[in-house]
Amino acid sequence: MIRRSLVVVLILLWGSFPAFSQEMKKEGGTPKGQFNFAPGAELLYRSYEKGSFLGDTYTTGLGYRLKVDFEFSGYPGIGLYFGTQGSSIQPNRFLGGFFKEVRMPETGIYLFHQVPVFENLTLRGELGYGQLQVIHGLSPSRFILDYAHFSGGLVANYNLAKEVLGIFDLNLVFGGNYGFLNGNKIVINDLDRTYVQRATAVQGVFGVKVRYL
Amino acid sequence: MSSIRFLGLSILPICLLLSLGACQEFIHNSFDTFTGKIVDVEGKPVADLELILTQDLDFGVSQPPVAKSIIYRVKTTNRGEFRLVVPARTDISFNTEYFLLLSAPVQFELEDSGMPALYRYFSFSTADRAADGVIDLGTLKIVRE
Repeated sequence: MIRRSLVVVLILLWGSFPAFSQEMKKEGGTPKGQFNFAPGAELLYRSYEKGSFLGDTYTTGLGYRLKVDFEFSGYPGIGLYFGTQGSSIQPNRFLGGFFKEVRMPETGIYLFHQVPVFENLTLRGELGYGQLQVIHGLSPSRFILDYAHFSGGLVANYNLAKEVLGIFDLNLVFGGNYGFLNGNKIVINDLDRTYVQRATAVQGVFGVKVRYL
Repeated sequence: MSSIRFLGLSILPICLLLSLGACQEFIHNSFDTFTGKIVDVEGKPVADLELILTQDLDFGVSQPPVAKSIIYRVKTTNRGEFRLVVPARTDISFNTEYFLLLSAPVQFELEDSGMPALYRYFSFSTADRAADGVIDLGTLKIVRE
């Protein structure tokens, strides 16, 4: 129920952004249609829902995410990201104690649309799709689990400095998102299938973004 | 001559990478599940019996086999059933044999050349896995010592 409500809220927010954006443009700001290219780096913390394989088996730590936005001002943009998160394995009934270390890299793509809220603050909605790999052990004794990660979230951009060296704006980024993970490639007995293949996650991010002018 | 040497040096890392891939120990995105049922000599399910799953058995001469490392220690359900899940190993990993041990003073009654024989362990491999990774060990009879 909570999951569905969150999805509905995110979709409504997403849908309301273009209208809101039009209003703000009338009051000034970045010229509509101007191309923006904005790489950024974020610290992230993702927590998987307990009661799922990902939530019960791994204790997650702090991670990072590198991303880059491509956008024509006033229109929805597209971005690419790569990130990873530190994790450790808890006692469990699936991995047999075969592995000591685990890594969780993820690459993905997202659509976003952002609107100015105050002079230095913009708010953006993001809808993302990523491929999360849970990599246990080291080659050739690696064991990889693949998950598709669908997410939606809200991120605030606070402008720290404008036109630094006349080249870029420096922004502080913070926000969160909620995601669904689907590991339908994973082969396992039918009794444990849903537990292992499905999960939800909440994620918080904090970082900086450089927007080239 | 130098071009041949250069070609060889270029191909060598690629061959090494390919051979590493071919020697992969685990099947990605795949779990093996060992299922079965423990019954007594009368065919009744044995509940709450502790089973030990291992791949590392020490066959001592003057003692029963002992697990040098334990993968899982589980108990049978009220219906005598058990289910054990591990990451699936490739057939070329040379490590596809597993052993079930009993911690209670009981032995498996297995068929050996058509005759019943008592064993302190039950060995099996992962060669006969079903499409969903399940390896059904069937009904295993135990005899109390």
